[in-house]
Amino acid sequence: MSLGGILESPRGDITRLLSELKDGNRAAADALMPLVYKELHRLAANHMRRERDGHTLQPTALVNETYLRLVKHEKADWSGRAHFFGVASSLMRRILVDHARAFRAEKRGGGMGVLPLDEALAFTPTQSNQLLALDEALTRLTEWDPRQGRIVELLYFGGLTAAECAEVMCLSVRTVKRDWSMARAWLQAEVRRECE
Amino acid sequence: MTPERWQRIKDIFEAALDIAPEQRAAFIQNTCRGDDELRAEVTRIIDQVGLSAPLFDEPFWRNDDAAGFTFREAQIVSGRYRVIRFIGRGGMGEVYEVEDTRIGGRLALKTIRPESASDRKIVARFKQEIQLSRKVTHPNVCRVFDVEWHRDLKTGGNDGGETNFLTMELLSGETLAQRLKRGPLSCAEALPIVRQMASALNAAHEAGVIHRDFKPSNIMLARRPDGSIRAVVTDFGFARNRRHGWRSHHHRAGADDGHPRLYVP
Repeated sequence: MSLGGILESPRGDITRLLSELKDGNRAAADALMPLVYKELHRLAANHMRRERDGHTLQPTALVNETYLRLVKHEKADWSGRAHFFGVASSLMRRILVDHARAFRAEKRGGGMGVLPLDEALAFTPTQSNQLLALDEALTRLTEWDPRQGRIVELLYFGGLTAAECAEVMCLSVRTVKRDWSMARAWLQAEVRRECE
Repeated sequence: MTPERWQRIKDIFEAALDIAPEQRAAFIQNTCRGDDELRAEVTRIIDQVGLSAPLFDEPFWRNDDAAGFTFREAQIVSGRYRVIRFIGRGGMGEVYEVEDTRIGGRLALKTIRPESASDRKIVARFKQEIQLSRKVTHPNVCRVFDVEWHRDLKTGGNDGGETNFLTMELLSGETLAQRLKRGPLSCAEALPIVRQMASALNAAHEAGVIHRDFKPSNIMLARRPDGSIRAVVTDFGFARNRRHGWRSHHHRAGADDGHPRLYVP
């Protein structure tokens, strides 16, 4: 089952990288990214194959599963986990956006050619367009309000709860909820304008 | 849009949310007096509150038929097994109910995903599953018969259209994990199941086999003809043979398989 590069990457490394990340070592994040990206990507492709039509997939579930696979024990301390989710959230966003883009390019029959079967994540055209519109809007939002953008990334792509997000970002739960509900309403309006 | 402008929109939006919906329009009108653009933007955002939004309300990944099925109904697999129906999908691959046209009778056929099959470790694991299950003969241990392959000339992909699969005892019922999702078991229901699980493990241990991935989703609850439950331990794919190689180089600390919360020594 667990066949990815993870078997070759000693878990001590990941735990160490997470604790360095916690201590504010940006280089640790850079070292962690490829590991996490690879694992998320592999899991996403596997889930696509495994699940039957009608089932849906939560990116959250993937992020959680990735974390458990990488760290390999559930007692890993919360702040390590929280920081991991920060990294995983932005990677999850990137993976989804890449797939939506590839999907759209394939539908248009141009440029990128036919996707290999295992890469064919099933977006409907509507979903991929909406996701790309969302991503684009979120990028703009993050320029105006980096904190709010980060909250959206953690909640929406990383699947953190408001309480977890508050803890990672050292904010009150109330602030997280307010920022999120406003961002959500605005993103929704932007996506509707683009796609309807 | 500037960060300052955004902050202003945000403040008005939040203040407006705190007041009753029917007073919001007037509040926004008042607060944004002289700035129609600001009023329009705040209104546009606040209008979304409470509306359904597919992108936020539903998971947006849905798989399509690209996942597909390896076999279709009535297909003859490997010149021998006629597919009756698709049963389900697990971590390793798909499971089908098939009829053995050579010997007769129904079996379960478990495919090994192509990307797993190309991995020698997985194939070795499947072979091991059979070797171990040959050693353990017990009514509460799932019998595994053979590993075979099917070549489909039409689909010749990377793996040459070859599908590896296992044949095993067909068990109809649900897994213990599925059963537990529906609610807790009473003592009277649980006791025979536990007894049978223990008996299966005992038989395995006597044969020198350790399961190593013993968990509710690997226990099938099949019905006996008399209606009682027969608990069957499946998936010895992670098992180790204690007499050959147990705690050998295979067993590196940190490279363990199995479920982290449900470890069995």
